Amino acid sequence: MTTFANSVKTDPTGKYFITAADKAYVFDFAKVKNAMDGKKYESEKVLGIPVLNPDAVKHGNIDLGRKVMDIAFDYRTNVVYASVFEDKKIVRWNYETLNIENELKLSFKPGHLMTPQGNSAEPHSNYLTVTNKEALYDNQINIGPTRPSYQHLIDISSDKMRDIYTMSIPQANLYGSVSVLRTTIKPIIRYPLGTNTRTGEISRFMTVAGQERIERQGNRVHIFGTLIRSHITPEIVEVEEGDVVTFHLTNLERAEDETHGFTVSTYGIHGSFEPGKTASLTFVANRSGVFPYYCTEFCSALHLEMEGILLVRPKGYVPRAEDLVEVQLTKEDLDRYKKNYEDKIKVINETQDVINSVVVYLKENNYQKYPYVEALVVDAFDQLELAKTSKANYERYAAEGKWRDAFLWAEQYWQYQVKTADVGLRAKKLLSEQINM
Amino acid sequence: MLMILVGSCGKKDKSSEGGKLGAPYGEESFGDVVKRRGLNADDVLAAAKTFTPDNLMDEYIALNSGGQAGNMIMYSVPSMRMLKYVPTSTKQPVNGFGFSKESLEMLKTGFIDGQKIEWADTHHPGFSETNGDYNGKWAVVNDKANPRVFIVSLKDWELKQIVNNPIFRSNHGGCFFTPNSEYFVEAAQYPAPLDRKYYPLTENNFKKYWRGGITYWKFNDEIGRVDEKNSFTVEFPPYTQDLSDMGKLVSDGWSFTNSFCTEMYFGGIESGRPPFEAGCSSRDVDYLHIVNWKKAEQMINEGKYMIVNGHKVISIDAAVENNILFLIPEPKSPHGVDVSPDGKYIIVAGKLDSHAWVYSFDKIMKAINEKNYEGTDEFGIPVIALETALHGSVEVGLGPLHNQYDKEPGVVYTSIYVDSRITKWDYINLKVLDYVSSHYNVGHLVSAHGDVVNPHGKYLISLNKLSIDRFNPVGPLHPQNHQLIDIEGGKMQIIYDMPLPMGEPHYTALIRHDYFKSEETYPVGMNIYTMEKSPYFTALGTERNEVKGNKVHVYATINNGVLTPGNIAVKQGQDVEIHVTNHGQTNLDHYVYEVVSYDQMYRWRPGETATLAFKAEKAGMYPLLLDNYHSPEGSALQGYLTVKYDEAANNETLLAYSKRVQADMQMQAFQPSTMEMKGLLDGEMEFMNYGCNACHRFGEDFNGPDLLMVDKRRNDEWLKSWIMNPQKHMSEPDIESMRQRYKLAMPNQNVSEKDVNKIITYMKLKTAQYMSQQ
Repeated sequence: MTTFANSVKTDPTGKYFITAADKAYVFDFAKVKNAMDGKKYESEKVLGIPVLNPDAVKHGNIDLGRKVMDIAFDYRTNVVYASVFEDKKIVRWNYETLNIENELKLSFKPGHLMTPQGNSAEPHSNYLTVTNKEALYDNQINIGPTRPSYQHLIDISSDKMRDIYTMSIPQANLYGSVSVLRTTIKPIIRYPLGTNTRTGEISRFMTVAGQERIERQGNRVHIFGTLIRSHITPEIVEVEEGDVVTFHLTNLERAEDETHGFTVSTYGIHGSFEPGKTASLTFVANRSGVFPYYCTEFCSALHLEMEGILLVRPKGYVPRAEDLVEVQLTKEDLDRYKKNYEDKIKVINETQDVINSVVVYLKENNYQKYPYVEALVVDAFDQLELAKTSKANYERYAAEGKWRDAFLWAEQYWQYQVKTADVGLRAKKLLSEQINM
Repeated sequence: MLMILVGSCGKKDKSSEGGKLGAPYGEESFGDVVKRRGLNADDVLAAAKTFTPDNLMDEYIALNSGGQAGNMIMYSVPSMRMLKYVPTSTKQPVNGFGFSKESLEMLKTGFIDGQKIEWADTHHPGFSETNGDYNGKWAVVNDKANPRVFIVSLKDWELKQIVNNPIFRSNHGGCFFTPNSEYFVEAAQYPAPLDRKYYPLTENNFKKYWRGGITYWKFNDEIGRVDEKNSFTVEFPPYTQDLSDMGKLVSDGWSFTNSFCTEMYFGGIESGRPPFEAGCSSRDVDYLHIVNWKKAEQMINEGKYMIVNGHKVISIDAAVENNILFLIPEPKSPHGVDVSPDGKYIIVAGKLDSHAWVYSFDKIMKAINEKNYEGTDEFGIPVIALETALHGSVEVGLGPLHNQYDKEPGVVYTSIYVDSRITKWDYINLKVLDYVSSHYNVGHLVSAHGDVVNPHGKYLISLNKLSIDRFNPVGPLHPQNHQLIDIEGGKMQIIYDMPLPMGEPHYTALIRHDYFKSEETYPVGMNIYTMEKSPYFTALGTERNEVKGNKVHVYATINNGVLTPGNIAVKQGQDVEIHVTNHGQTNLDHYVYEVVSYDQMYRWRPGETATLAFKAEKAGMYPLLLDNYHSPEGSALQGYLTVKYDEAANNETLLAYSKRVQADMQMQAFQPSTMEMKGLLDGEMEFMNYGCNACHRFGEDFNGPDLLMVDKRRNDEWLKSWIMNPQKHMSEPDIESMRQRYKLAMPNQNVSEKDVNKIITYMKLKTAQYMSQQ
């Protein structure tokens, strides 16, 4: 065979395999089998491995041009495509009759090829992608030394091949591609709550709402926390300098695309928490001070408020008396909060009217018929469900005359309403677009 | 690469004509295609507006922050094709960033207080300006998580400087240049004590010690570097500062920074306190901070500052005394604050208010000149009454977030987060002009040159936070969706949906392709991070090895796709530095050189000199590969790194490994609660706490041998001796062969006699449990 081949591929029937260099060699597997069964080897072995005579096992060979880089099959019987690097062309040829059917001249030197489902027994015959790693185009914008690689999309559905799209792919050193029909794969949209996404098992660090806690043992601190629009629980964590700290966090969201991120300022850690995921981040709190932590994915209108504070107390710290003074609320403060509370209740009622009107629209238009819309509505109601605790809190504090707490919990209730409205409006919009489609 | 086909063609599609081959789409007429794909006139028009065949050039480059990807992402407009990920502080093998000694040194300049930080949360890129327009020289971006800024040259779109903020703990309002790039700003986000000390968290201390601020980084536009000595910060109250913008033309010399959580609230759900999100949005308005930075600069020159952590800071009191700092109420929980192209108006969008508010710079100046204030905040900063400063407000929708200007005077676009749309409105006559839906929950938006004195109009991009149903499902983590909107005509039209994976771009800046001039090659011998000739430059024909003590310097070249010298021989334990100079001078001369299984590689650009530095810890033969990046052929063998065995060095390596495992063990050790203890087998905790699980599993080969049925293969006595004293067994032939196989030696974890028995018990129980489950 040729001295150097870039590619070897078995045809969809399994009867032939083809190596490609300047010449393409088509080998017949039946002949290979025959030669092996009959032990018809060349006289000289290579490192003890028997060598077959290429002429005895090949079906034939064909000249395709200078430097054939890769080959790919489609559904057409006995048809194969070859990229010819130096001659800048794609050759479609028949490996049974060893005839060239036709060629597509290219403006670039082609590299690797891919046809959809191309490595399977039933490749598709609609598209061919061709890699251009030189990435030289007359009219490309000069963006400095590093530039992307490209893939061209070739329409191979008819006798004449056509180059129909040029796509840049940065941050990749392209060698090979594979492609799968979208209906073959069934990706999930959320993980079962508490999944360690590397093992696929439920993490023993899974934390559900209400079970958030901080466990300490010597200098080892474990924080079992949760993430949900728009707060991280716990929100304040205090440790001592030198403690080894782990945040075990669980994203409680069920909604699609509701990923949260997490980082602690200047401690070099970061995690991405897709809905349902549990993961742990460990660091040594070797610097004392005040370190904000926050969510790094824009997750809701109050994303920026999804924050917390890690306090790292210096070893042997003794507070000064002046640093322990607490603010006391005055009568005026309380009156102000009472008024704030009453105003907020009005806003809550108005917002509820908006939510109700959206609910009416959704129901009237049979939102359940549209899976995406239905998923959003489920999420919207989840948000309202979460609001119940806030409501119980503000009613209790109002009854006790603790107006500041009553006001803030009313505010929290309203935040949940905003989130409900946010998702509800998105559902309404999606629904109206689906209806008008 | 894995691709997912969006069309369902091919022979299995029975509905398509043409039998097994699928329909011969290639023969279709234009009308056939439109009909088959169900396209309407708008779709066809959108395709025609965005499709960019090889003979046409895109008009704009979009530079995006990569968010938690720790980089900047470039794509071209209108074809919306991805061009480049510019690394800022995340290692990037394809670019080589973080893998050469030179780039690692650059990365290390961004470590804070000695803390290794190899990522960033990049937020808002900005371009340098001359006379209020982009000058095409530099781009800067901030890191919100680790308050730093990164400077990138538009000559090669590579990182040139990292500047750490010495007093903040997080930032947000950056990076925005002054009209002649005298400074760019970085405003704080979450307040923290500026001296970076610890104080107990009480409401009293929060007001007393916690602070925000805005840093003015002195910028040298000629060389593209920050002059840290002549930079300064104006201290702000502990409100949570947010985005900023610089005045221009009439308002040049002033900067504007908005804020939220002016309640100065901190949460504490775990102790019964309502969360941050409740307390931080309980006031009806927040504060827009206005600073006269030219006067602040004068104060610095006059010595009216204090030094905090070696950095110049103008205190709130000094700022008030010198009349440089003012506040104005602004709509609740705002995000964008954007100065109009003529500099006369400032628009603020508050996410929890359905209005965008337009402030008049003239009115603000008049109030300041007449000292017409409604009072002061708790820190004594004068507050200008809203009605004094406001030009007017417009109801733009639920959750307005950010504003970008049109070339048409008086026209602005505002992103509406909750309503998922863009509102086009007139900020002079205060009326809404048009809406377009975005999909979904738009954050920032960008129009062509929409933040400078002469916006181009043309295109608007909506940076959507959720993409739910827009693209083929690929698992829980979705791409972002950038929607290109045509704003040339009267009605806004979405003309492209682009999925953007890896990272979450927060903010984008668009620059027309003829505003900058990049170069594709460097003069031979360049260290591209310092932009100076490398001391390790090696001329062709002078390739050599130099041994200095325990250090081996290899001076190597790449010429015509060949690396010289091909073979390298060192002794185990030596420090090796391979300095490679790429003599290639065409834009195809990009090479990746690699020491196989030594975690050493880098990508050499044309003309670049860079160094692979490592300790030859492992003995053996390691292939040296060179890959011509722009050729489809794979890596080619250049020779071998031969590391000669040295017993002392080998022992040192094993010891270092054992120490790493022990440190890792300390990091991972976990004492489960009583509840979780119930589920543990006897000895399981010891197994984990000694770090055995770092290498061993049951029923699976991992970093070390599978432990399933290990009790059947070895007797207790041997296991005990092996765990407690592995060195004793190292010369046993089967141990040596396993060491070769796993490339690791069993470390001595100093397991006590009591615990070793527990671990052996656990291995037996685990095996029994595993077998019973099969």
